[in-house]
Amino acid sequence: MFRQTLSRLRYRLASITILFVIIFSSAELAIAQGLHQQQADKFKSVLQPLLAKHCNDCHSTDNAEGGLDLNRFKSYEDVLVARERWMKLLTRVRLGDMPPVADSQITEDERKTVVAGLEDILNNLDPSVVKAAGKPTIRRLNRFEYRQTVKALTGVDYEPAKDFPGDDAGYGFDNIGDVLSLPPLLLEKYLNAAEEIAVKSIATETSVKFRKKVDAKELTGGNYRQDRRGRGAVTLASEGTATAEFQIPAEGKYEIRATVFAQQAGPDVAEMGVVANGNQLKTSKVRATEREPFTFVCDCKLKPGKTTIGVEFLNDYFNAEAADPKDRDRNLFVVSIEVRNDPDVAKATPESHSDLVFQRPSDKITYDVAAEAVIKRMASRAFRRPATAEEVTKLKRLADQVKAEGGSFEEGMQFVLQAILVSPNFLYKVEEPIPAGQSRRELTTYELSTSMAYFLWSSMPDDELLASAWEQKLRTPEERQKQVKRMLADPRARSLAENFAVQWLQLRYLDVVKPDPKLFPNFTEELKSAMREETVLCFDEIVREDKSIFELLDSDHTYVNNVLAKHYGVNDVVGREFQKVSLSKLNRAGLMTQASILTITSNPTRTSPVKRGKWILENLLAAPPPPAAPNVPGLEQQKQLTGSLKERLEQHRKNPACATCHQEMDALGFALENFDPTGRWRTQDEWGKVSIGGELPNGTKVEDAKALQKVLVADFKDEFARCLVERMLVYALGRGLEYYDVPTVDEILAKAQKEDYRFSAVVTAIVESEPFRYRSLPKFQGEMK
Amino acid sequence: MSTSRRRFLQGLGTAIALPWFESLHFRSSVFGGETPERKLRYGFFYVPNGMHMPDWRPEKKGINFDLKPTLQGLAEYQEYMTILSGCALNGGRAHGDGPGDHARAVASFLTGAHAKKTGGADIKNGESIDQLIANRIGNQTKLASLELGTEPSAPSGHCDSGYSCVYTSNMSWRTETSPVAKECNPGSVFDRMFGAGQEAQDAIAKSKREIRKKSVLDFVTEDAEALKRKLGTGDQRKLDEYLYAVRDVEKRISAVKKEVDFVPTIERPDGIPASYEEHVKIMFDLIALSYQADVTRVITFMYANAGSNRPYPEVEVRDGHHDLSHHGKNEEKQKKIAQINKFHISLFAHLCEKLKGIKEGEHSLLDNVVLMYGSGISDGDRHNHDDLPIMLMGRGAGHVSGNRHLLLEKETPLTNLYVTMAEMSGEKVDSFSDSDGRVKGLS
Repeated sequence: MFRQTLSRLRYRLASITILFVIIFSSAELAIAQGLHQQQADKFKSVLQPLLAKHCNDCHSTDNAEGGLDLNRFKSYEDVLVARERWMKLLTRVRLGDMPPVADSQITEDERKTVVAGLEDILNNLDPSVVKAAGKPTIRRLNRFEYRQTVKALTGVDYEPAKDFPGDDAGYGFDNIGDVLSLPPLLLEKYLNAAEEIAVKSIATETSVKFRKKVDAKELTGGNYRQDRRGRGAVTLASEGTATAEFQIPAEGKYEIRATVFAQQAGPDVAEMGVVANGNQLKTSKVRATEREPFTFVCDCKLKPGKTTIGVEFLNDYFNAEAADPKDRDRNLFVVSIEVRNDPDVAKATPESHSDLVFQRPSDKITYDVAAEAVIKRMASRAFRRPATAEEVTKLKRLADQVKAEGGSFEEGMQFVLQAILVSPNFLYKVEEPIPAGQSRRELTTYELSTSMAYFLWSSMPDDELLASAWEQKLRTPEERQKQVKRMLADPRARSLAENFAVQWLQLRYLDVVKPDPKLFPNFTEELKSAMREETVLCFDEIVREDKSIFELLDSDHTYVNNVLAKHYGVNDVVGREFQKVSLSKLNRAGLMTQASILTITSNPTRTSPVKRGKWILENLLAAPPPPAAPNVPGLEQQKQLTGSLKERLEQHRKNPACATCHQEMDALGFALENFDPTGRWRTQDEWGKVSIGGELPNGTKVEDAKALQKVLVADFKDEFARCLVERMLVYALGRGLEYYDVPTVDEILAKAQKEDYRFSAVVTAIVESEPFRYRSLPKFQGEMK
Repeated sequence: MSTSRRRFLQGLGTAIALPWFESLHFRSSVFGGETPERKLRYGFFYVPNGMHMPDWRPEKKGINFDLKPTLQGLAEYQEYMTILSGCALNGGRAHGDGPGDHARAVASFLTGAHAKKTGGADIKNGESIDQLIANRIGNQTKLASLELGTEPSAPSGHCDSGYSCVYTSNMSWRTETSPVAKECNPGSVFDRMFGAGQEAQDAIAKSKREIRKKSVLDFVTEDAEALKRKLGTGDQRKLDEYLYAVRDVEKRISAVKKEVDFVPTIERPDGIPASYEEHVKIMFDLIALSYQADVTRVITFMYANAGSNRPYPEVEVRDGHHDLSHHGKNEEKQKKIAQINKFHISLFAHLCEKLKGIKEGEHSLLDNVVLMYGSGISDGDRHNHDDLPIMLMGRGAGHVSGNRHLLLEKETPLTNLYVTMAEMSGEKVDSFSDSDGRVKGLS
């Protein structure tokens, strides 16, 4: 039944799969005008009578079974409005769940008619009628974007952000508003981060100059004494420490200057150590005498806060028997301890400081004027749009609070920054709603610039992009195209490889898979990160050099370093740096033969041709096979299966329930059997010589990886392009694709094709698309029960 | 034993005074002195991919039941153990939504709800029992609840047959649309329990810092409320979530008297240990410590996310757990599954040992907890959501007798147990999710 209804579609790999694919089958959607009316007629004439006949017994009136009252759906439009519900209904009718066999008179032909009719109605939508921009839920920045944005805004690379919780993924990506939750745990982390980032990015006045000297009299520990001339010193007669407390204002380089002298005795010279909070920083011999104390200078890095600095005596000596009374007792004397910050103050001030606090009150500028100017710029950059006067006023109140407490101007600005970094206007990508009474709205240039920046850079817009938004230039397609090109050429565009490609290709699973350490001791952390980097660099090259997206499949070179090259069996690549290497040299063929992908699609102890095949269908061709039915036994569970993996899978396919999906998955996967679970070349597996190659349902043979590459490039370019565009659109919009996005995807593909699928053409077409620049609610959406 | 762990354990008993506790004194009731009121603590522990049931389910029912191999690791604690057979999670079933049993098993485990099948848009599940309890009794402690685990959210959106990863990696749900993310880093758990890192603490004096944080929270509340007024309903939900978090943190900061007057007996753990076993054990040490210090009375812990395919080389299981769970009655596979189940239980024994060693008046902490342990799937091959493997550990501050195997009527909603557990705290709970009664015979 399943196959039959689908046979109406032209053959494509996708045909084995579920409704999702049918939705995106452009061929079907391209059916011309009048479709809408046809469907409406069909619903009335064919479907309604059948539904009434077989379903109304249970599914009518107010207390209908399952709350489904079919009488309420009077027209085709009613069905579309409750599309989700009808999709579910369709599944149950198709599976034969409904109507229940026991009480139903429905014939097999009638069931087929209902299924085919509903599929038609729900999926063959008239593009001119359904196209809509949609409306993604506003979303917060994910942890990666947060870290990048904070860095761009304040110069601080806040590393703990990498472990922020709550970044769940949806539709394959971690930038989907609906699932990016904000639990109290995360807010707590934002709050702590804001405090730390503010302290690190803005130097307070105290950190500009710090110098404090504590004389012997004020030191703790040892015995204080004065010599005849009234010069004080603390005696450390046995091993002990003289300390003083310092309030270190900011993290940075400091000098600890300890002025000491010693009374020598015994074979060794007196020795001292400098300690901070109990940790020894440095030691030194002390030869100086009372006559001429010596100042030992210890360079160190200190963290802000109360810090106990001390001098310790390390090698006490006492020998009452010594002949020379002067050689009996070794003592250390501490005259003073001083802490100063690095003489070159500029170095201790964060670079971001002058950028953030570009003005301070002076003879010419009042506090109010300076504060407002600094706050206005800070908030506008953080909110990615001009801060309103009200916002500036409210933020300034925080600075005023500090001022009232006697804090410095800089401290006030620190506090303002702290609040900004927790504000929802910073943490969320805020967009205005669609105004009441309107059905569609265009994004403001600021909203657009933010969307572009997070799409291409995973970070906030830079000053140039914000300026373009401010000048409203971003309204023209020429300017948008210019900005896209500039942004793609910028190093920040590497985030497309790091975030988009890595998630699209599921490379994050590299951190999850655990090849058996006994069988694959070669799988080290170093190799793992090299695997990832290869794929990232290959994708990044497409971005940087604006190549055709198909080069991902058929590029003649890749990037390896010595570790990865060795893994690939090539020994003459030297160094940790990645370098371009011809694929013919490596005996590999395109994306599918990269170790990263071969590894994430394997089981811990063996390869899984099924997973590899599934991966290709799902991620390169957007044709995920349906999940195995729950009662279909998996491969390794069927006891009767014997022989090599290939033989066993052949037996598995004899079960008709398995065959339809497995024929494709297995054929694709077996083309890659020359690569072991970590992507190493092999000719043997645990059953002997590897059996490789398979046959696709349409008869095409794929003998090995090279043949697979050829097939993909020759026969599946369209599917690949569509797959990439769909995934990238999800990533760009931060929402899953819906039926009303089909026309948009078609348009993007058409535009990209005209420019030979160059990367920038795909990106530009996405930026120009309806859902990227507009917001509108789909026509058929609602709660129709 | 790794050095960091040894150091960590050595710390137990040698109290290290941490500088941000201004008044250091022990809770006299815990360390002798007047008899303390018994404080009930809750725990919920999830293991993925079901259980090898023949090695789990006792044959005898009632008192002094027989311990099957999986549970033998807990023999020492049998008098604290209650096995419940016959529970079902109806919400975990397909109900026309097709495959995705692993996601549904976790999503329904503490909620009893039938999660909405979606890859991301409009997620919808149900309030979980731990959150309901935390909501009732959480105001008595510094943290209303702690959500812990070992695996962060899955790294990709394709989690289980069309279900967003939000379902496979979160079992605590504050509301039907707000999952409560779990913490997997022991160091961060420690910080939440006892305050943030020393570095930040020292930067500005504590009181000043807290006043500032409160001002920041006031500011952002106003900001968020203004923003919320501008937005549409879907987006408002997101701002509600934000505002809830703000209020929650605010409460925590203002509740000065709820400050934990307990000196942590262990050092702050340094990040996530490389070994899974060490990781779980450190988390369990922290769980014991949070109960002991009364930081919170409600904790959830996920051994791994739904459908986890982690191999367990620690017990010579080299294949992925999920792959194995589809055993098709293959004996070798089932044996390995049982080995994994046993391993998880052996780690749980570590927690029991810790809890038993902590005295609270005349009882041990193990007497005062009720820890629920189990899976939302019974047989990993069949993906069935009835006949679930469920165990209670601890005597629930007098509400659970222990040493019993309750054979409940088939299809008893697991949520019946939750209502029963929730009411042990003295709170009235009429019903929860699909519950239709209470579990009798626990004491």
